[in-house]
Amino acid sequence: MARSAPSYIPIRNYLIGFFLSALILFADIRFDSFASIKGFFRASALYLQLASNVPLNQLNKITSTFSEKIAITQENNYLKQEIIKLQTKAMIEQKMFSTQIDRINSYENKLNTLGMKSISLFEIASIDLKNYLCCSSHKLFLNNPDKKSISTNLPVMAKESYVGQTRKNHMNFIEVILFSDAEHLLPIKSPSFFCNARGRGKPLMISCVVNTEESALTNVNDSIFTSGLGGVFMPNIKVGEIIEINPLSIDESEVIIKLIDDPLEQTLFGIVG
Amino acid sequence: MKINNHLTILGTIFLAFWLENFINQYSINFYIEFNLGFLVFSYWVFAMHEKLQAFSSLAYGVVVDLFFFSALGFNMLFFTAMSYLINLYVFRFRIFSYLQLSIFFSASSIFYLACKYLLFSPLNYSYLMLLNSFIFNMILWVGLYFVLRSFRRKFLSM
Repeated sequence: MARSAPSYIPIRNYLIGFFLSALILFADIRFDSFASIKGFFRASALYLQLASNVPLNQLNKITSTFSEKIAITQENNYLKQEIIKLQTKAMIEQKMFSTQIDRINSYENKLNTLGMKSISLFEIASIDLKNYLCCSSHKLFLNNPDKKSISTNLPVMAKESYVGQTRKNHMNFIEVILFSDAEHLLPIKSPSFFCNARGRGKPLMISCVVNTEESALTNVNDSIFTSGLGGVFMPNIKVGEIIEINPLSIDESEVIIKLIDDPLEQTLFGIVG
Repeated sequence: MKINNHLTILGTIFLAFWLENFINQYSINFYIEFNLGFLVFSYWVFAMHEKLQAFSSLAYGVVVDLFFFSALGFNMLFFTAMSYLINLYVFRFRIFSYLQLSIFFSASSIFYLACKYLLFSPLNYSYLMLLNSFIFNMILWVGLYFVLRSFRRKFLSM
């Protein structure tokens, strides 16, 4: 039974708290009013996370000093890192190069399109896993220790394909919006249709609505490429495959596409710009 | 209540949210989502209803929203509402059985979960997940209740 006597509950305080929270929630969802405050806290949390790794890394270093193979281990790690960097860079350059060759073949007069864009490689700092697995917001953060100036909306590439676009800079971190984020639209094409695919809010999933004539020509396992419309992403880069076609009405069908590059399996990302 | 006690409570809520994130990345594949953070907060309000009222709930909500990357205001809103509900019926809850308590707290956490999905991820809203989560959160509540009660008696001095 109760140990203390019933007390007065100040409903006025609760009402103020309730309406204040509702107002803040509405402002945040509708207008993204607190983006800078949230960005600051995210960056601080990431700093804290990275800082907590420093003593652990130091401890590892001290213990490995006693090992005879420290130099070999370091060299090995360095070489591994370099190989991953070179592989990723080579892959991106190869994709860009082949796309540009296609462009030259198609538009011989437009030789100025040959100019190579620069690629900057960044290590992943964190992925907003909570939202990535449950909700519509799919973001990741890249480490930018040199504070390189990165514009917004630049394409971000992983090992084999594009994975998203840069969104904001928070201190030494670059926020990247992934294709699977429900707010993101990606211009794509398949052999039978062009569309703007929207993220489904599920890991690796995007979808678009096509008309029945187009869907009749579309098959599961068809490859999906960037269409290049909008000018942000280069055309003809494979981003995924069709895994499902669901009829929505007599006139329309929904095509569900699974992306090929899983950001959870990557450590390095290239920003093309 | 002393500031140390507030920090301890906030620490347990933080730990619960962190654990929840860790567990849910595996359990979500089986359509189960644990609401550890919300249940831990509910326990503290239930156990210390006179000490944790509107302002504390609001403050805990802001901190959780800021550090766990939710939309600002979401946890504030639910923490305040839950705190009011518990404070209103706290003496009735005291005569409830463990089963009744776990049904109430699990149902509240499922309401929180359903609103979260409806607001932030309507495409992933699933009744199967809500049902599974309800059952598992019910079981979780009983365990949490005993663990947190012994923790409170051992470490929290008013």
